[in-house]
Amino acid sequence: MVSDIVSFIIFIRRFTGLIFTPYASMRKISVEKGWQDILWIGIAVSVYFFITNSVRLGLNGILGAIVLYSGSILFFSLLPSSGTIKEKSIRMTKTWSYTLLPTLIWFYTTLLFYFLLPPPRTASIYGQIFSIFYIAFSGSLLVWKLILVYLSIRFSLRIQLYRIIYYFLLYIAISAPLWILFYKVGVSRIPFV
Amino acid sequence: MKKNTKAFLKKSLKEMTVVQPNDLGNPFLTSIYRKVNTFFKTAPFIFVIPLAILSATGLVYLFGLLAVRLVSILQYGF
Repeated sequence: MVSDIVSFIIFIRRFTGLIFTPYASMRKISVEKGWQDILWIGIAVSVYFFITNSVRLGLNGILGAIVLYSGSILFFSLLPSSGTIKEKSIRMTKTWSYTLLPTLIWFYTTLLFYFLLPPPRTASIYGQIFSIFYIAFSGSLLVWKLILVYLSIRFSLRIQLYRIIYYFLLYIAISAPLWILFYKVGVSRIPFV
Repeated sequence: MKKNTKAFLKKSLKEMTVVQPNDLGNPFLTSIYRKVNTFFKTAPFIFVIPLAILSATGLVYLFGLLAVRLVSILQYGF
């Protein structure tokens, strides 16, 4: 119980750290030991899929999310860089889990707005104001996500900028067909990456 | 107390040297990268949020109904 509270406090500290000082916080996550705080992200993801599965019958995205999550960690860990595959996969698991935070916030907020302001939007003044807000919100989270992904690769694989860009493009090239496949078979509409 | 401070400083120094500084192969590019990078290192939202609001306003102003439709598609995407 005490360790649960401690891990929750660590999780909250890292979460706020990634908002205000993403660079230093991600570096700290990559070097520090302990993984219990990651469980809170796992719980948040599970709760999200539990809610969405009860709201939208026939669409079970958790399988797709697990495949993408573990596939991403495995993919980056196998790429040539400093450290053994085991070291890299441990660091990657910790840092990549924290890159799910913007994704989680976006999906939870979208779920909330689905009930508060159900789509479709109209071209009325209120529809346009909401659209501005929603695009700005999604765009900000996307930028935050890209920053976290960049830092995750940088501190887990300990590589330079050019190689990070190259690895990331390679990752997109391999993942994109999978996202399309998941969309076609009805696993997920927007990939939970 | 002094021992704690020393241990803390040692740990921080070790953390800071985890990765080598980025070198883009050209001093000019490296200096630009470092200047841009400082915005992302601490509180990136200070400039990301205003920039996102400006871009979103521009998008809705330029594309009108298309941007509104994009929002509807995204809202169905959860």
